[in-house]
Amino acid sequence: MMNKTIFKIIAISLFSLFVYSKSNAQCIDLVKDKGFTYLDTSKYVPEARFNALPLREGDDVDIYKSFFKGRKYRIVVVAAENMPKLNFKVTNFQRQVLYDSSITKMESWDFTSEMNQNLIISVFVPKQSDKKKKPESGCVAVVIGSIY
Amino acid sequence: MNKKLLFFSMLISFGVIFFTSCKSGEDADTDDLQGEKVELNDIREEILISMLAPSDMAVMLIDNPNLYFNKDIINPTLNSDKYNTNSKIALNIGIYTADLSYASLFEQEQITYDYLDVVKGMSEELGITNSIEKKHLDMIKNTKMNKNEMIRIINESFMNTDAYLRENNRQKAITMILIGGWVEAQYIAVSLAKGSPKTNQQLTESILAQKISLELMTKALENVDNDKVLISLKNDINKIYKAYILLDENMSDENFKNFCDLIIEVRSNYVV
Repeated sequence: MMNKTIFKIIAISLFSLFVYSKSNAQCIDLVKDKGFTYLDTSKYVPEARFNALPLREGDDVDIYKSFFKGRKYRIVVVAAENMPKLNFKVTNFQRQVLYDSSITKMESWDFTSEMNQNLIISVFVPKQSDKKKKPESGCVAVVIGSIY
Repeated sequence: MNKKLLFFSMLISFGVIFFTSCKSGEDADTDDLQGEKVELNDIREEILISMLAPSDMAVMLIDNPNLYFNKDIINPTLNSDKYNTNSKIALNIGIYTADLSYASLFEQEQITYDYLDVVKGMSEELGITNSIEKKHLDMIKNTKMNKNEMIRIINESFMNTDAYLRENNRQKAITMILIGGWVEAQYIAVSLAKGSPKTNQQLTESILAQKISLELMTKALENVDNDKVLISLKNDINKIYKAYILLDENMSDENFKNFCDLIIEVRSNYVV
């Protein structure tokens, strides 16, 4: 009886640990699998920062990024499978819109930076129409690559 | 019984999770044990994400055909033995990463390898075991690589470190690495500029394009008020920001020299 109880404790502990490490690995996997595929790492060198964070439906986030003169960039925004299709905009500091994914319906944007500049990447997770469903949450990643 | 079972299981799991996330270097010293796990709202995540990596800083400032590689500028690898606190290790991981990025931009393979190896060892002291893969070290050591290939490896390694630290709520460590890298990239740039804005126009422009980086670092640290190490960094960044504002308003030789001297002074405190 005692042995069975100990066995159950160990089994549940291991399961909890598995769930913990799986959620920890989820964001880096999203970046390296889906993000790098859309980026096409044979052409674009991914930047060094890990631009991923957990978001919920209805959340939005602004990320500031520097882009250097004469360099070709690709910006990719991806989310975990359970999340709705994301919208993202790229604006300058005067909030002039340079790219809007809700118009192009594309997950990525290619451009050449004409100057050293700082831009704002605004990501929005839309709410799904079914209000009875619990809002989804999951990893969202902004993957940026450039051609040197 | 079932509830008790679940409770004990959770207790064991959280115990193991707690100990695995606090392993090795995390507890290695007493000066910065306090506050290693900074509250999420102390350093805002979106601000932290926006800060540039040391390799990106090096590319922004130094990837310039009119510049050259000078080994005497960078922090010697021998110094790595002196860094015996988590704070010093984190700051100097950033510093060495900027140094090896500088070396890679000028295709200095052996130096890139040596510095990457040192960063690997120091990262392990902070409990980060999977940042730099051995196969990548071997590739740099045994294969003729161009700067793009080396930067790709450096970036992937840094991303592993960044992901590990942020997913384990170690915002303080990653903040220190980023600030160390920023200061070192600036230090390399001002050393190459030799204290004068006229040495290299493109380099001077790159140094002057640091406003957003400085603002981000200032914002990242603005809510920090109970951590000795981070308060000291905050004071350094605020001093540099003030010198930068003066330079931005009036690009005189004197203001440029003051800015350069301040970067040199702050950097020298970090590498000792």
